[in-house]
Amino acid sequence: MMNSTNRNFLRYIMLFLLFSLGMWQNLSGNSAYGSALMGAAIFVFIAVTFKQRKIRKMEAQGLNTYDERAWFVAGRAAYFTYLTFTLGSAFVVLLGSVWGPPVLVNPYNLLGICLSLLVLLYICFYYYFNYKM
Amino acid sequence: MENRLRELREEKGLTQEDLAALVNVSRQTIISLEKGKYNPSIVLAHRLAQIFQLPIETVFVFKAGEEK
Repeated sequence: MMNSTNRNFLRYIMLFLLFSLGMWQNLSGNSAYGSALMGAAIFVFIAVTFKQRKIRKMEAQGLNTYDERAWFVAGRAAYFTYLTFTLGSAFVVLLGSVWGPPVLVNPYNLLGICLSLLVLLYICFYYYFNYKM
Repeated sequence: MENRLRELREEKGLTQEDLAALVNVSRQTIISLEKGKYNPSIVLAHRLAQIFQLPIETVFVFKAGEEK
């Protein structure tokens, strides 16, 4: 399993790549997309840095932030995300195939929307189960 | 599953944070355990019982039918 230093390093590299992509899009004239990407990268960088600082502080006190309960909550959130997404998609496909009008879809947009939905569902379920337990 | 964690912790004069550090979990886990909202793994239950130098069944009270 990857240790936290490597994970953080990869996370910062990914953020740097996203920021660079945003900058390149800005220079190429696609300023809305570029600015949004740069803003998101900066926001995530700040959030991750604060979170890491908090985790390091807790670890210094001998506390384990990724203990068995955290994994249990994460597992539950993942299962419910999968279930909700699968059932939701099946329902939309079923209804759409019967009554929906044929729509031309940009596959990258669709994948992006699905990905955002998955992440959003996971975050919501994680916070819900973390609160309930 | 009911447990005597809070009572035993207070007897020992430990804070939730102290106990969490002793068994290497987060304070949130100790809070959940004390409220009975989370059932620990056998490893964590064993570690907690060791801290209080008591058998697991004295710290955690398992009642028949709870596994359902």
